[in-house]
Amino acid sequence: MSPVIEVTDAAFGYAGQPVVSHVTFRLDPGEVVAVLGPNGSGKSTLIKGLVGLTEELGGTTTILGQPLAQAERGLVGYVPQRHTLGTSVRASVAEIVGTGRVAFMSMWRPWARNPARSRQAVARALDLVGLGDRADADVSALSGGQQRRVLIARALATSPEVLIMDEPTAGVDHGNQLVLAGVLERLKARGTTMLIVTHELDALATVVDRVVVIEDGRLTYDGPADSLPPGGTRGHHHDHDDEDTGESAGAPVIPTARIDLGGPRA
Amino acid sequence: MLEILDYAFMRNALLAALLIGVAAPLVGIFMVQRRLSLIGDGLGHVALAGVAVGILTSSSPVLTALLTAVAAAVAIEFTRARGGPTSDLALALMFYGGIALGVVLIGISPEGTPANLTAYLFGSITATTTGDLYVFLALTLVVLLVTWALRPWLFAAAQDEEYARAAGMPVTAVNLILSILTAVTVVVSMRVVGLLLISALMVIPNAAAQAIARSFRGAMTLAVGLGLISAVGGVITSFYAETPSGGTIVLLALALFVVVSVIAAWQRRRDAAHARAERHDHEHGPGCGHEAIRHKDHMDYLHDGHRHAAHGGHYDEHAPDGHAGDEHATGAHARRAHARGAGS
Repeated sequence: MSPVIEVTDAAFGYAGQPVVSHVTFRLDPGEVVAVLGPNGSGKSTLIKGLVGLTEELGGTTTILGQPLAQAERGLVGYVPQRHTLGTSVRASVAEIVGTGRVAFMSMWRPWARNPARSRQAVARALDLVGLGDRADADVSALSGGQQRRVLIARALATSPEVLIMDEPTAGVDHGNQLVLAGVLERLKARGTTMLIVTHELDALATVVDRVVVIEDGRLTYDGPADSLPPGGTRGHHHDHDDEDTGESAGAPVIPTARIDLGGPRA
Repeated sequence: MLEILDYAFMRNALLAALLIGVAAPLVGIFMVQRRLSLIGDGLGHVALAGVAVGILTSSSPVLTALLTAVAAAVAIEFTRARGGPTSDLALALMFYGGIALGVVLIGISPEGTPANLTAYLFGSITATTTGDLYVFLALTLVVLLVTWALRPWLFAAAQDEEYARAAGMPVTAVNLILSILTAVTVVVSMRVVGLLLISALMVIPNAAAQAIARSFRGAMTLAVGLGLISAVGGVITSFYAETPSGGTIVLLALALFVVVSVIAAWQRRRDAAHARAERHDHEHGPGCGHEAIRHKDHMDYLHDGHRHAAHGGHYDEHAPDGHAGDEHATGAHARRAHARGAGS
């Protein structure tokens, strides 16, 4: 079975400085892999690298056999870490999800856009995350957990081969976490391949097949969740301690690890 | 009222108002979305330097203003993209430098009368020449066409820039295009609205539309409608009241903003009177296990004998039979629902 994502001795970082390096792992079709690790370890840098937001600085990375730099962008659905969908102007749920399709189309040929097909894809994506009846709602009126599902629907709108998610359950109350886990279970049952950065493995225990741990910019564990070494993920994530890089301050290995604060970059 | 059409200058002013009434809010909504509401104001400042150069060299002030404003728009985008702690100050230097240079250059030019300067800064219904009108018509058509064709991309880039980049969208190019569209709109509007007030017509109709709309599309349509009423209505009012057109247009836009805000506040009060269902962790949706019943434009979910309809982040109690006036639960019904607590 050829892998969906294959990363071999790869390095990713900012401004020519690697934050994660010598990372090797593969993601097979239908697999759901959780990426764990303390704040500032480089896990966000790694998955952002897979969608072209951080620089690829070494090794080889392929998406469905194509080198990362040339890979078709619509193959990867990206769900960034956002605590809210703070829009500065009014937007409906369907309009936000629709940007998932538009962004992948050529702006230089705007007449080639097919609004009817986009609408169908948006409706399908919203059904998948259980928000089919909220398409016309003002997105800022939704709860935090519902807004996360809007972001997942946006990523699903291009029918990607793999979903890459950054902390989909962080800062979401328990009830909505259950709903989110249910959505991920449904996607898994449909055979969706997923790579999920998380601090809350318990919430996703029913979904995750395998765990990868990133510490101090290196991959230190790759295997089933139940044989995870105790203390394999140092520290727990709290919503607002992203500035606190104290736990990696003593790490001598890669000083630039501090750059990755885990939060959304300006 | 049609006698105003007997005057050639009024025909020109009204047609110009028609064009900018549509273009300014249409471009403006994306600037508001990018939280750059005041950039249009800065571009107006810089465009005055361009106008002055045109007057001084006896060439077309519209053309020189256009070149200056577009150059400034490109400079602003690159300054912002480079970022850094001084980018905000760099923009301020550019804007004040532009308006100071404009005022001084117009002052030393032979044709630079105070009345001339006031017309450029605050607009005048007699200022639009037939020659200007053809240029404005062509430029506005380009602005409308580009903005309309690219609106899904303009929206996507402004909504979530990081995501747009991850999708491979040319975000820098999109931002640059929007900046240039803003510059062109500023110049097209300078005769009727004036360089110091044009930004208001980009922002105020959008501020009003944001108060009441529920979707981007709806907000955009409403803003264009309000912009059109403000611009055309302002020009007509300024003819009869003999007031400066720019200020009249902006005051009319503000009046419409107040009216829309009052309507929005009344709507919110009405919405707040909805009967809320009890809080529950369960989320209603297609296939959630509760029977779904179509109710007007939405679905009610039959929850333990109650009809729950999603409203914002909570659920409303809806009455079993959908009489128009009896859409929402009565007080007694709602109290009963609350008394049940979250147990069901």
